[in-house]
Amino acid sequence: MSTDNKPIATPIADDDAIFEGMVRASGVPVTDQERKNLRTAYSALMGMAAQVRIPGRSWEVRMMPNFTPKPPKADDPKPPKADDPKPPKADTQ
Amino acid sequence: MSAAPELPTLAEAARRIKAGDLSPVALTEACLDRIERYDGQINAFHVVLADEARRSAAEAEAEIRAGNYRGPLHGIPIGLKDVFYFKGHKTTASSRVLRNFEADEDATVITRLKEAGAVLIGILDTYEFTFGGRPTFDALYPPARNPWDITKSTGGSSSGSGAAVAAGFCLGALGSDAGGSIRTPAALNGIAGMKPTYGRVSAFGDIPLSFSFDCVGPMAWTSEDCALMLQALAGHDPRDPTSVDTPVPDYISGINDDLAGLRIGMLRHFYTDDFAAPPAIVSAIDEVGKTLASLGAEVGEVTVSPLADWHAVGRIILPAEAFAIHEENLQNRWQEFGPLARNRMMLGSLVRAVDYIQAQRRRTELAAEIDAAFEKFDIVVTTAMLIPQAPIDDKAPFPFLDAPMIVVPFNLTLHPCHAIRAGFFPDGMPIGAQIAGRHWNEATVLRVSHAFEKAAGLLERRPVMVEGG
Repeated sequence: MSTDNKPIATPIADDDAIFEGMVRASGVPVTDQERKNLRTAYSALMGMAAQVRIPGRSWEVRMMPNFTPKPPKADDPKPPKADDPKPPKADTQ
Repeated sequence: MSAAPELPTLAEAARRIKAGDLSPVALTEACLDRIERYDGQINAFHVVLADEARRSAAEAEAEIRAGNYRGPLHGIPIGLKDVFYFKGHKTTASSRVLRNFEADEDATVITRLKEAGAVLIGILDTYEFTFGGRPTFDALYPPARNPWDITKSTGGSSSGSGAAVAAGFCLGALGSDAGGSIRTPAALNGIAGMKPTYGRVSAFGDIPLSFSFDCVGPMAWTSEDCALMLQALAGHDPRDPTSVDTPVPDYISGINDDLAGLRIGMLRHFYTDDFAAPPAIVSAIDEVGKTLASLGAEVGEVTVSPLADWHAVGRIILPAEAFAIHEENLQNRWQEFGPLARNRMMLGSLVRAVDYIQAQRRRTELAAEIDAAFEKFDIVVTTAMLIPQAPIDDKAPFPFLDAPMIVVPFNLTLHPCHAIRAGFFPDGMPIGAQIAGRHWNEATVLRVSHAFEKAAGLLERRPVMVEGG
């Protein structure tokens, strides 16, 4: 795996057709002037989208935030027990 | 004309109220009088709750006289950003979309202010749906103006909170911060504002902008004032799934402790190499480091990824989450949004899922860099602004194209980060610094900020305002 942390240089989706499709997919009407302003901003945004990608990034780099359930508290009315029956195995045959 | 020399800080007022030397009724009347004289120019308030405030102040005064003093916020006039559920009142977020919205319960932070005996003096301006950038004239209410110069931006989105505290309309205010919305108006209006650790203060009843960034916190004239407010606001709330059940320390008892041996990391490259901030900003922030060194702290320098990397992550995540939250209204009630807020949110519709997730992964890497810095340093200091206050009528649709977001790094990392007054531009407008600390360690952030404020002596100067409007 590469350890070179240079960001990807090429904007990924800075393309008129993709831009137009995404504006349409948003379902929000925009005026011609707004479309022009958005197109400029979209180019900058796609430059940033390239910048957040690091070539060779390990898949151990997970996304924030973390989705972890909170542990049960001592006064939880039904704390898990060691001798609870295990759920049946899924039939994988 | 007034420079408000008669107004005490929140901490001074609390001490005097407790001692029986200051009447909550008189203090509230002084604030209402200033609002009456100056808010026609400043536009900080959407609604002034004069009658309720007078009633609440009289109740506070009677309780205190009867020996039932509740604590430092008892009888203190506090303003509320117009994004918090407030039973019996409209919560509009300065948007026509919510012009008739009235929640049937209070936001947790409002409940806590009521329990602390605060006098809720009015509802304060915000950028539409708290989306930052620059103020607009196309929202439900006209934009708040900077009391130091009404032709200049307050910053946002807690624009009314910043302006009201700076103008002496109230002694503290509630703000919310998803991309610097407490710290930017604090800095641009020359006051203090704390974005606590994510999860420290309940966001229940705060109209959201970004689920992974939204924080609620105090804004006031000094860091000591913010500490007093945070003490009342902080704590676990089961109604907010992001609220964390962890003890709230005493933010006041150690606030005057000395700084000997504390390690301060100056994050200079953000405002020197990554973006060439004006010399007045560079000099003011560097001076914060020198002052802290003179107080016994060990001052070094922190190096992390360039500011543009942090900016990129924030600029992808924030509008994407904002668009997701407001998608239905943007599609069905788009005419009711101000065009500038609508288009800033629209940018989020152009972020693909994969871009969003890659940005969140980059966020993980960047957060690790700040965690590493906090292995070496107790506090990180940088600027809270890269450019002077913009003209209030600046119509740039996407201000982020002009300058990177200096406040967003500590939204990404979830650390507590506090804005304080660090100096002045040659034209007299204030300059702000950011003081960041380890997760859950707001106490050290406030202690360092308080020590700087006392040593620097910059807080005597108040804006000079003109009556009328």
